[in-house]
Amino acid sequence: MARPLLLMKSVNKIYTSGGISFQALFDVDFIIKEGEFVSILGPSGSGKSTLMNIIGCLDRATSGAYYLDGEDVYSLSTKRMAQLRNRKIGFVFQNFNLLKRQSAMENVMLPMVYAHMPSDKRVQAAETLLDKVGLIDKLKSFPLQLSGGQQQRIAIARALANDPSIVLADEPTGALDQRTGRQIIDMMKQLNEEDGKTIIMITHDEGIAREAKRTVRILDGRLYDD
Amino acid sequence: MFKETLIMAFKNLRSNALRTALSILGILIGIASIIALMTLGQGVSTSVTDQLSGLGGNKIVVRIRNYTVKSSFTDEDIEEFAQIKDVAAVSPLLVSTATIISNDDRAAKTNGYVSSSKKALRGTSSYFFHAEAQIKLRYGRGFTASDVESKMNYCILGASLAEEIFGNTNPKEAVIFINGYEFRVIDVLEPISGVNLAYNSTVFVPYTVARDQMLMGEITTLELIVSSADAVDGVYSNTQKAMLEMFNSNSSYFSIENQKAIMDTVITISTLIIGMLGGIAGIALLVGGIGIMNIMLVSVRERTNEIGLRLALGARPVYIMLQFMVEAVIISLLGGLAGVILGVFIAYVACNIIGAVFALSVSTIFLAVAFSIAIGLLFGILPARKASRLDPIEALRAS
Repeated sequence: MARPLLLMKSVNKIYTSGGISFQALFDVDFIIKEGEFVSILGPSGSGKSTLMNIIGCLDRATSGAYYLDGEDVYSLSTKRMAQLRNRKIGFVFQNFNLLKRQSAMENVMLPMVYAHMPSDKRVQAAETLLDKVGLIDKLKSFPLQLSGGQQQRIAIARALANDPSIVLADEPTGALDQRTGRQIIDMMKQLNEEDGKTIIMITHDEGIAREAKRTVRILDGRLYDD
Repeated sequence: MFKETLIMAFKNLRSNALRTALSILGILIGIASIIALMTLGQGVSTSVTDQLSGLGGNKIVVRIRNYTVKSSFTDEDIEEFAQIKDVAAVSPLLVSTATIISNDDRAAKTNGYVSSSKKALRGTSSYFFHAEAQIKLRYGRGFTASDVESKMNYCILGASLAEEIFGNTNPKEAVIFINGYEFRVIDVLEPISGVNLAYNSTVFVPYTVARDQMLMGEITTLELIVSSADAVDGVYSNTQKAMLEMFNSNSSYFSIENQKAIMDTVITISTLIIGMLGGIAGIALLVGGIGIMNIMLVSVRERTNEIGLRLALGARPVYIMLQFMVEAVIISLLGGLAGVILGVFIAYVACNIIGAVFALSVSTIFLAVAFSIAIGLLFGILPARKASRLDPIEALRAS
């Protein structure tokens, strides 16, 4: 029995703006074990972005508890939360979010810089990761010289930079054509199956969601396990 | 970490080269003006001080203005002024022109004698040669008090005048005729440069001889030489008291000129002007600083998405802040360094044109560089803080 990597208990999120409150999440209980590939499926406005921000330690819940890899996230300061994001979470975004003026190599090394990894180790690790995503020949290329699929592969390499506990992918195929999207999904499956990486994928696409081993649905701020 | 930040900063600045250059230009103009003005101001005030101290910053000149009240200063008056505390010497200003003829053996004769006309002739007291630091006697003889009192026909030659008449020979004890009167040369002045240049071609005689024998007129002007510049103000007020006594308490009958007061006024005015111009240069620098702030705010806005990404990937807010601060300081420091070079160049050219002393002050340069760093920090902090306080979720959503 694998240990729980992510544990959420009665998580609520309420946004208040101009005296008007809006509850985006209702009593979310959520457990993800090490080695799982989970997709979170929901239409827009369902609260899936809010949930992603909370899982990704970019935002704090209004109430409830959240443990990530044994760490009580809400006991941490903003600074320690930044460190937690850096070490334990690898983000993959819909629009890749690569720095245009940095080479593929430099983009992959960015989380390592914030982890204070020495530069010779950074170079070595980034080369290994770019080789893993099949772009070792593009390490000096800049994002705008690469195709969308190649950019997303670099983003995946970056997500793996500090060997995180969880890869958190937000609509990773949303900006790609079907064939390229397929390659990205395959790559994530491979990461999960061969390397045992825990992956959480957020999507609104039923077909993409089915690729994961487990799917949870989110609707009007409530979570339903399939 | 810092190295990466630095590399990143240079990359960002280079990718917006024109914008960076214009921001640098703003600081450059400010620092260059300050450096140029400070150096120029220093040069002007040094030159003015040099020139006026050559004139004698420790000299007070008193003149009779109303001759019906008092036609001349007497020997007793001179003695009275000499008794004032801190007065090193009193010397009448008795000036005329002289034609000098000599048939002495040592003279550079043609046709048996040497003649030199239109030279300055000055009657002085015995104190004169010992009071002014610039004046040095070659043989240390000078006039004694008894020479003056006994109206001895002794004279002292300026350096170039001595050379004109006697070449390189020692003219001591040589006989010359000044406007027909026979005199014996007892000493020669060492060459003088600066304001008292005219002394080089002047012949000096005891004032008693000039007045009573050569009939060069009455003594209406006296020079009081004060022992030190600090004592000038005290001597000035005591002199004024003495003069008021002599002139029935009416200050329009006489004048007192204080060289130090003139010097002080000139320095005060030049300092004021330089200060005012410096203030304007300071405003230029301020505008340059605001330019940096402006450009950094634009940069923060343009790079909101990047900031969000960096925060998401685990950059602590302080690193984001550091990133923007470093960029602001690089701009201001480059502007500062270039400004120093340009400012020094401008000051050098300007000093040469107006004939002021060009002296490079290292402390001014250090100050300017430190100041430009401070400008970068000061005007960088607001945009940098703004960047570091962005919410990563909001920032990532921006495109």
